Amino acid sequence: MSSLTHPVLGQYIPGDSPLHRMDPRSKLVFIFIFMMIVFLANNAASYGLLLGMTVLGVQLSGISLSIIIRGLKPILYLISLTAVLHLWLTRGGNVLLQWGPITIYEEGVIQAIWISLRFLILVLMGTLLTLTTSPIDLTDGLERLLSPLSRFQVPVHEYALMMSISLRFIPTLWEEMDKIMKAQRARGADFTRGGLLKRAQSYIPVLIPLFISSFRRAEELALAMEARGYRGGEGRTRIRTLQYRKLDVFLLIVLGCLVVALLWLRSPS
Amino acid sequence: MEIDVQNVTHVYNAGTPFEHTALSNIELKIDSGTFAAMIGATGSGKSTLIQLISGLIVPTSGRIRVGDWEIGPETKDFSELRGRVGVVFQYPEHQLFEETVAKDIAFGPTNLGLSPSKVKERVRHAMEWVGLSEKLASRSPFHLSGGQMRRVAVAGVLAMEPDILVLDEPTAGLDPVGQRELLNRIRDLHQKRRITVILVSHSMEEAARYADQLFVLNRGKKVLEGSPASVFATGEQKLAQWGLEVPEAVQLATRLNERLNPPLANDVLTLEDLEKEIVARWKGDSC
Repeated sequence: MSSLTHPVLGQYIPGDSPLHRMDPRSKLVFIFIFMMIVFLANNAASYGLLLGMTVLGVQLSGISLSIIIRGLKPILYLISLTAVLHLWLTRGGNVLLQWGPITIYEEGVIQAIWISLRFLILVLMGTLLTLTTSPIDLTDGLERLLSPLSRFQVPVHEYALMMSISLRFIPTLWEEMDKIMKAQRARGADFTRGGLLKRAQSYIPVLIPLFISSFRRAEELALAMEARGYRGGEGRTRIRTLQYRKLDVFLLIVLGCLVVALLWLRSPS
Repeated sequence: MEIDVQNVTHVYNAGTPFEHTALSNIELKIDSGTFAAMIGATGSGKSTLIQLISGLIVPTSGRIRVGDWEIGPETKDFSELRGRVGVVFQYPEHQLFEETVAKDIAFGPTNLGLSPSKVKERVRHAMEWVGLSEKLASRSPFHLSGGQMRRVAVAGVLAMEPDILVLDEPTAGLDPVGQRELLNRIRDLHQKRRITVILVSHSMEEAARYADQLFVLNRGKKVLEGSPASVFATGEQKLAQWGLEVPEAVQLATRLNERLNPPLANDVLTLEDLEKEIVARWKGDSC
């Protein structure tokens, strides 16, 4: 009954795998480049290589496959929808099946497989990042990677702070919402009956208290930060400094090899 | 209404790395018209247990009987139970949402499908029970003091006229006078309307003063139950193991009894009891 019982896609799971121990910056760089080079793949060998990398990543993360699959469920609908669209709309090659107005071409099948595979690899790698990196590490890494931009008057520290605060408060707000929903349900509120409009209206007794408490929390947080002398990012030192280790160097070497291998394996277009 | 909890286990996030067993194999029975208190340290499973009793969550296994209703892992429809069990959550003022105090209190009874005139009457009564002056009815609940907001929220639950009233740490964050006053009003209501009250608390003082039956929970298990006197007779050391403290008055009485012969009666639970007992002893000795 509680909406809290489902693990959210990519929710951080603490652990001590090689993937957990890597520096968030190298993971971010890897994912960023990886997301781009996925589009280089265009044949069985190159897709096989990428899929192999992904499977290896899942293995190394030490996170059980069932959790990853459960988290992927909502994305699977999207993937199958794209696959169906490609099957239906792509023309080219031999006709494999003709049924009423639907004609399925060879090219369509190949496209559908490649596109859904690409989608799956992208989502899996992205999830691996958030599964093995705590939100704080993630924003810290992002801030450090983007810090050169602050020379161009981009408020990198402030953005990173905003991001980490919002990430930090998602579970809190989620819990708060669950609590308020229970309280209103105990007072006879029903969130499941009636049409769309009625159902939307039934959430008013949840949303108003949620808004009020968010504002209260924001105010309290600002006050607490000021009371502890927070004055923005300039000259601020960190309790946990990020440090590149052998593992990170290794990861970047792997990335380099991956790019070369992909360029070599892909069929020339 | 009688409450019968039979071999109930509740597991949060089953099958994920966040799996957590909040309650295991709980058995307990609360007779109709009892003022019961659930005590236990943080994380002992008190809140989960009352959510199960109020039908807000379903147990992972086991059954809960509340009057004629039965709740099991498969139960889906709780609409009728909702009207019979009222729940005051921790910091209930955080659930207020309406423009006026009266409208907010009317939310529950309106959901029960009562006629507008009936709702109005319920709101008036509920405000009276919690000691809110009628002048406040048209004010915004967000402009009241913390203590008044708490009372509005409690009134919102009382207006549903439940047979069972569940209160989860209702006095948290109130000043001592406010705490005493709120619980005194609940006790009056309990005595006048014979409703069953379940008070969740980690204050042994509160439990000793108001409840006639105590349930002690520790790490998801029921470790002790009985009258306040019998629970406190278990001894300070044992209770400290479960993260609980014996009320001051009981501690003092125990210390005195180490030197007194014959000892004081063991049903001394509050400072007032202790005072009476000592005065009586003093007078008895002097004449």
